[in-house]
Amino acid sequence: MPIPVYILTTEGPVRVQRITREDALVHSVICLDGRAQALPVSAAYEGFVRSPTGVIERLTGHGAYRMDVDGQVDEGSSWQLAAVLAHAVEHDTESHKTQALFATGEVDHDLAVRPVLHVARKLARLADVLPDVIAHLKIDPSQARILVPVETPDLPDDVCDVPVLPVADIEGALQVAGLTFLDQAVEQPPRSMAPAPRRRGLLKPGLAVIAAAALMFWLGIDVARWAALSGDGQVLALEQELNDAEDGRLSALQASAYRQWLSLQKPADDAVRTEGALLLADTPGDCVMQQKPEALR
Amino acid sequence: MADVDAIAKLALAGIDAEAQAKGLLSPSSARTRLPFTMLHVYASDPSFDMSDSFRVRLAADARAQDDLSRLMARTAFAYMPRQVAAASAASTDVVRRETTQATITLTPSRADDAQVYLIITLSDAEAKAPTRLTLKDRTGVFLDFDLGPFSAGRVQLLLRDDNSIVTALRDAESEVFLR
Amino acid sequence: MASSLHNLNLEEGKSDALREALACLAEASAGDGGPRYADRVIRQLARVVVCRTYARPILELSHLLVAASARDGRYEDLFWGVDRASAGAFRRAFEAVAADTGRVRLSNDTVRHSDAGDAFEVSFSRMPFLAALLEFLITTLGYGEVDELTRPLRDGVASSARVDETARALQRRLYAYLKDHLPPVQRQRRERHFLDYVTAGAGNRTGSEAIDDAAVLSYWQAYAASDEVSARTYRGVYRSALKLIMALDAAEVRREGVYAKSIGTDYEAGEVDPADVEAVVAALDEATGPLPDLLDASGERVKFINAREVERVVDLPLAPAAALAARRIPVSVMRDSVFGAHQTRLSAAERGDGITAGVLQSLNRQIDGSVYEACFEGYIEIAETLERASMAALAVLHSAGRIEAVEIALTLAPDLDWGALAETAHSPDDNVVPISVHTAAAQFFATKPDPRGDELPGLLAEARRALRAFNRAGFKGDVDAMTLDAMAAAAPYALRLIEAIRRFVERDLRGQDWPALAQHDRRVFLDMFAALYRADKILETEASDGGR
Repeated sequence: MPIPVYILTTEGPVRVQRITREDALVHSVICLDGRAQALPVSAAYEGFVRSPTGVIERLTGHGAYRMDVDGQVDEGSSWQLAAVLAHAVEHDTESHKTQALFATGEVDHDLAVRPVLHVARKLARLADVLPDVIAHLKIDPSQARILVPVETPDLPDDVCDVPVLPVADIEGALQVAGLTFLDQAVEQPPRSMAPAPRRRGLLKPGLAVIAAAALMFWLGIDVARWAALSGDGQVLALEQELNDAEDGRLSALQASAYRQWLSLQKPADDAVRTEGALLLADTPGDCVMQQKPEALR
Repeated sequence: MADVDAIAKLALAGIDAEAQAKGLLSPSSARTRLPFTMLHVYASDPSFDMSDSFRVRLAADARAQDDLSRLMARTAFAYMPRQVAAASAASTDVVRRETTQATITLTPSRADDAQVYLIITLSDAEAKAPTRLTLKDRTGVFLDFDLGPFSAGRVQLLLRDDNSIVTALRDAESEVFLR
Repeated sequence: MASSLHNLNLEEGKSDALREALACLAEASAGDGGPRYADRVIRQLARVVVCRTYARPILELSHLLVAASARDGRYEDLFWGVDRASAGAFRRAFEAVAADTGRVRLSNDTVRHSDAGDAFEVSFSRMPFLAALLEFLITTLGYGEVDELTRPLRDGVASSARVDETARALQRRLYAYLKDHLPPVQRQRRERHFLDYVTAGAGNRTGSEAIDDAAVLSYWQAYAASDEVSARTYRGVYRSALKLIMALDAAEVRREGVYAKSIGTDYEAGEVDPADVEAVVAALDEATGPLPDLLDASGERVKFINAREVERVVDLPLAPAAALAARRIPVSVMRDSVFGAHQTRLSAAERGDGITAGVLQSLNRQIDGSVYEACFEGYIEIAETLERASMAALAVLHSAGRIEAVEIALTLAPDLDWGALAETAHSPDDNVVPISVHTAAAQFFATKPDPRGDELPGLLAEARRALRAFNRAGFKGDVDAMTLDAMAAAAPYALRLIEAIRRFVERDLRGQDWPALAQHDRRVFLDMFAALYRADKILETEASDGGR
């Protein structure tokens, strides 16, 4: 692998040793240390690779791989983010801006990175061995990256000087990893996935998006808080904060810029389909009680 | 009253025959062949593991090998007999054996040329899947290999290239039983 | 010389293949590790092979193969799906076939197939032998060949003509195989020599009538030390005599109906009817009696009889045919039991470390005027032990509801009022009380043991007591299902063994002055032993050593 990629596990980091394209007849496998021993997680890996259910074939155009790892990877799905990164590393042989990648996270069909359990424990196990890994790889810790799902609580800034970066989706993950690839995925989104247009915007940023990102960097910390509220879906709280901000001169500029940014993220008109039942509450109180769960959080 | 002489001769003939029968039933110093009963137990029960002595005796008993092969051909989920010479000549890379019930392929791993994928696909994915792959190699040795659970009528195993099952599968002279 | 040796080796090699095939069948085991085929079946098969009387059995087998293939053509699954080749197991297997297909019909004891118009029946009791014959054919000819030869029985309707033709094809193949592998008949020299001897001195007595106790003893005395014939052991001579009596009697029965038919003298040349020869061999085989059957059925699970008891009765002629023959030479039977056994030990000692003082002292001590009567007491003790075992088995089998308990109860207590178990509902003018089997059995098993009761309750209470007091394997603690099966299978043989021992001791051995015979025989046999083993010198040496 041009860049070492590690899967974070509760037993310590497991290095992806290599990824090989296999005959299309073969089902993808994860093997232990080059041996003829497919790990039980192989069936899940096959599902993760092979289209239409999997994503790797969509991203790479090939549907059968063998991934060799140097330790056990349990069944589950937290290996998926590292697997995507490992595939990206194999495909992107040029733009290597990082020196090592450590990752945990589930990747869904829309290439969003979903939260996983035991991240703190995985990071703790990583911390146990990271100095040795860094020494062994002879790398600069600041040039390595630890990628975790964005919704992971209580994240440290770094582990042994290696930055810990929350990522919301594969696009973001690739960005922070300094990798470019996945154009195929951009070209062939699944039509059945409702939020896909939003992803499309994310995956193929235009100049406006880049400019907006630079502006937001200038705008400072408030924007980060608003982004968090937006990410959590706390729309009412976000609206309240933006209203408050519009009362001040500088903050009004920030709020205006942020509203501009949000408008860029707005899905296409035909992209959102709302399904559900119309519920009529007898009293406003009932309405709050009904709405409180997941939808507004 | 029957003829005394004839009676005596018949009686003595009977005694001679009884001695002969006893002689045939006396313990033989020669090797003992494998009872067909044991062959049937092996053929009809895929979970039955040959003991070492069973294996040794079978290896030394060409008739029992033929009998077992024929019996298994009748009882197995799928039977793939020896292949014709043309098929063997072409089978240097991907090996493929096919019957109406199943297809077996050997696909070399691109990651490691010392490893190979054994893939078995059932024609009827709903069929009760076999649990064991048995090969009779060209020397008459029977090799058993436990298959993992099938998923949607397919099982894939990664094996070393020098695995005896792989070697035997590559040999067109081998007979293959899925059972 | 080299050529004849070569030929001899070739002959040995050929017969080895046949011996291997039979050994192979004997080795075939059931799921519980016991033999798949009973010894009796294997012996019957060897008899049929040697006498080449396989034509009829192969025809039966061919019909049976049609029935066994009726469901799906996989006759192997029926024959080898049966774990232990027994009539009951085959009945169950064919019941399943009959339930699945209308081509097979069952009666109480037989199976038929409709392809041949139900014309041919095969009994369940015959099936273990036919199964062994099929395995023998497969072992000798090869499964592939048998499978091909029998294909017409599975493809299409197996008419009688088709079955006959298939059977003939199998017969031809077996004939060819045996022609190459069956060793030539060895003429049994001692039996011929002995028969000539007794016939010469028998006057107007002929056949088995010419053989008596005096002839057996005098022959042994005359030829034990001779190089002319192998007659060194009394036991060998006695056994030849007993075998000859049985063979001559069986031959006479077979010849009775065919006296007018002209036959030759050479069995090898086919001048003796093989079926007659097989009948004689079968009569000789029946000499095995109830003891081997008891041991076969009970195995190690149930000890009706222990090893020491077996050793004492194993050489007695207890089978019906042998017992009948032994009535002609009852003294010879006891001479063999006492002196024949001693000579066996002497011979063993001679082959081993030599005849020691211990062996001879034992011999001197044991042989006195009461030696025969002591033997009888020993036999009766064994019969009594078997009776206690059978009573204990009655208790076990009755409480388990096994139908075999009825036979034990009927045998052990024939004087009981079994009519009490009968169904009483009958018309007033009917003088016969019809015993409904089902009702009687139900009442039998519903009866509770009662030590104060008479008839059946009393018998069952006695059986309970016997069980508590009987401390052998299979009768202690909880009895598992396999032990119960073994006990049920073995109990009838135990009853037959009891009957045989009692009949032998109390009837066949009557009418002799055993103390006088013991005194006479002691002198005769010790003299013979002295001559044969130079035991007189050893005894003298021992005596002089003891005097020092």
